[in-house]
Amino acid sequence: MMRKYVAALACGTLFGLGLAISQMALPSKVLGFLDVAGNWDPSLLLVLGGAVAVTALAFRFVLRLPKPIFDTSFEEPSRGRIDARLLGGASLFGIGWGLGGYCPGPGIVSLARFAPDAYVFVITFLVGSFAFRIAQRRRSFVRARVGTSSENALA
Amino acid sequence: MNHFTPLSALAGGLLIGIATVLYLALTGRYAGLSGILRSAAFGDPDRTMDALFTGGLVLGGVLWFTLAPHPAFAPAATDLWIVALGGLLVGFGTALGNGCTSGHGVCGLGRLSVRSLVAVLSFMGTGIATVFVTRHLLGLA
Repeated sequence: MMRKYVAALACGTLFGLGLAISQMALPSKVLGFLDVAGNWDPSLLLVLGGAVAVTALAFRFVLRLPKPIFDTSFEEPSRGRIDARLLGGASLFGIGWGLGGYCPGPGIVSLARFAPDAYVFVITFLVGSFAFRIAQRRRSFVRARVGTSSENALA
Repeated sequence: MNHFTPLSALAGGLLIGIATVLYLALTGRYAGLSGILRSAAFGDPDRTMDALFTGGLVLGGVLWFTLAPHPAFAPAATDLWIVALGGLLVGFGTALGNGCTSGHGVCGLGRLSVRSLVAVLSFMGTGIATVFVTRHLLGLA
């Protein structure tokens, strides 16, 4: 039981180190990649490329294990369709990313360099996340009370 | 400041990949950071693992920024109110779209997920468009 907690801390640290070393914790580097019309900096491509090279190669072997080493079962990866939620969500995320140059990982890591923009990002990230949860709860509440349009059509 | 730094990029990227693979092998969990951060903050089931992982992220940053001869104090790339708006959209968007650069990018592409590829292309696309608008049309940064 304890060992999986140590693993979480250790892997988080390794991940954070990787983010910091890659300089992706600096928004100016990220925005330099997204700024294709300006002084383009392809560094982010190498970061993502390097990371995906490792995961694409190794995931298939890891997933052949009967169970993870310190736990009982593998997490179900998020499934779903390629639908409006996916496209809408990803697009909104991209806009936010292009505005501040932060996504969740770099935001957290940058707390360690006492960057004011990182603190602003993390707080507003949580506010935005919370807003989604509220909206989702309202939607299922309304659905349960009023029913979906197809249910009403049958009535 | 936007000069290409291939060695640190590759080294950091490989480390991120290794950390992700290790996390899956040891705990069976995917290192999708937007979900991990939300779970740690809002107290979802199993938040302990996510809180520890998040703590590790900070620790990794502390280790690098104190040990390395690296300018730790870099000015923000954009005004704080723009960063705030960005944070709101990233929070909402990653919840709606179920992932970010680590979730869809590193894990999703690593699993050869078409759905994640679509997500990655979407956020790269709007990210690039946003920077074009803010920097070259509006002159904000």
